[in-house]
Amino acid sequence: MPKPKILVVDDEKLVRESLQEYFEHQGYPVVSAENAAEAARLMADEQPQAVLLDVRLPDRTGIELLADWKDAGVPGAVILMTADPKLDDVKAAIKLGAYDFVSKPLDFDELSVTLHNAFEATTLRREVRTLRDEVRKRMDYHEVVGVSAAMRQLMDFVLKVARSEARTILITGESGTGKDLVGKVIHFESSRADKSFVALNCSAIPETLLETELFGHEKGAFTDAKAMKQGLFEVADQGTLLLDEISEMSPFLQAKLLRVLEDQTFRRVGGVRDLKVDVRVIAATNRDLERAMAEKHFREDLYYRLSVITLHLPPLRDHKDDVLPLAEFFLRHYSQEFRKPMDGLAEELRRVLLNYDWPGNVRELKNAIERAMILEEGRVLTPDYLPIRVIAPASGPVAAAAAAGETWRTVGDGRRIPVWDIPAGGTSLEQVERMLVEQALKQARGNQSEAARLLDISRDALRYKMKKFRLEEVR
Amino acid sequence: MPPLLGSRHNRACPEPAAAGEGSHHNTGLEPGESEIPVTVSWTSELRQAFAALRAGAPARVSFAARDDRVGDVGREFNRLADALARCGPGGLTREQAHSLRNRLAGVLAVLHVLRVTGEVTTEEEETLAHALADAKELDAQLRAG
Repeated sequence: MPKPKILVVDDEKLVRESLQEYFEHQGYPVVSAENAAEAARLMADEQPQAVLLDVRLPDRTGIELLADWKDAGVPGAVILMTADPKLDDVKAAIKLGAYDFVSKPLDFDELSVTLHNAFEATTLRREVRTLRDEVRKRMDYHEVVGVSAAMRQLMDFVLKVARSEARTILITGESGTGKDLVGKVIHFESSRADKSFVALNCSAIPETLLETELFGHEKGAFTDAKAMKQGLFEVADQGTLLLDEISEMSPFLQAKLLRVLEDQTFRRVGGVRDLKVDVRVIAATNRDLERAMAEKHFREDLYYRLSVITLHLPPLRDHKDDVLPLAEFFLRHYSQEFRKPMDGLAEELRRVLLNYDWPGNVRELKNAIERAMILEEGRVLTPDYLPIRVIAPASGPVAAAAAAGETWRTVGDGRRIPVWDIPAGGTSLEQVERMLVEQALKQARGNQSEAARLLDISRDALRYKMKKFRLEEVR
Repeated sequence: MPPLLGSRHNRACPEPAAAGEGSHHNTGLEPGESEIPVTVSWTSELRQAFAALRAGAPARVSFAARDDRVGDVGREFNRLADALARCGPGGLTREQAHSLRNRLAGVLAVLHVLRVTGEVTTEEEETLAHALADAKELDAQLRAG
């Protein structure tokens, strides 16, 4: 990999030429300028990845030049050099995004290390930016949440909230409606997009751990606190913190959270110093917080603080016109992910999808399509591999067939599927599948082609399932 | 740390040197200043000269006459010494300190390059390390004004 290019800007000829020679000797391509005008030209023409910039130049100051570059969004690390370090200059430089400020006479060895670190930092920053862009692209949230008029209206409101200065936002909705996704949208569409987005499920960890997770702890705060640990509020400073299942937070932590929301200050566990942060908190819940409040499980003051802006995500059954567009979106998504070209959704699958109520909401639909995509052998997605509960909902056609005393029902191209009632305690899809594969192998006396034909799958698919269920020995 | 400016400026502040090194010809020495034996290497000469500046004494180096990078070091050193000599007693102004440190930066910049490009022998390297240490001390004095 070629070494990054350096621009040296200094009106002192000996310093300029020496820096150029020194870094060229280390293998860096170096260009140099003796004034700001020349530096600006070289910045545009050569696009260096680092600049060694003298503060005092004959035509302008290095700080002014840095400000221009910042406005133009010029990437790369800038290290300012001066023989007369003034605190105001240092402050201005750091504010403008300078990587470092070094004093003349220069220690070239130290400068070399600083430059190396600067390159690493810029590379990391660039990688983080690329990854964030990638995450943003992959989210495709407009399609994931829904395309119906109601959902578009909701997303417009979400974007408005994202770009507002709101410090606290409450997202409510049943499990699987996409609350976490909307939380991400709010972050990535806000002015905080370049800072951290941190998500935490409050029900996933015990209260004591949750406290240190959120607020951090000082060294020695408790027996195992061998070192200071930053909490997520510090990690998310200037960014966004998503607290999922907020209703599961204990009253003690609710009080502590309320303080951060009101003052933007907190103390680490075992700490005596107040720390100030600037964090947007998005709280999410699938519970009825008003009811929790009435039952004294949730603090009233915290509820009113959180609910200044509330976004409610409706269950999928209330916007069924989104089911098919969402299914098509997931089909394209998994087709790409599994590198499995697909032509679309079969008509029968469309009917099944629309006939189901989707109690698990968008997440359930997504998982159902993923499962069907894995197992489907053709280029059109059929209902054959949807979970049984989707194909045969209690009030659906299969249940009706069963009620009529039928044990088999003909589907699609004339094949027949058993009519079952799922026991109240549930069943195991995997075990059912295993049983069918085993049965087919036995019935075909170990002839894999015949067993595959009985199950209407390819031999490769059968072999995959035999391996998966360790049925290689069945004859 | 010896008082750099107090002792040196007991004498009159010299006039600015003529352009380039012309007024000092090949020796680069002011009349009446101590002669440095010609056999002394340029690194030793530089080390002694830095030590003299630190002590507040006038100093010049003869290798300023060389037509190479070592000569660059010498000429910049003599400019630094001249500039120091022109400064009046009672400490340096911020502007003076800035200008002097810039000169010193030039001297040290070339020395850094000479070291990495292998233009300094092992013996010279050792002496140069001492000279650089003196230069850092001088810089600290300049910074303190």
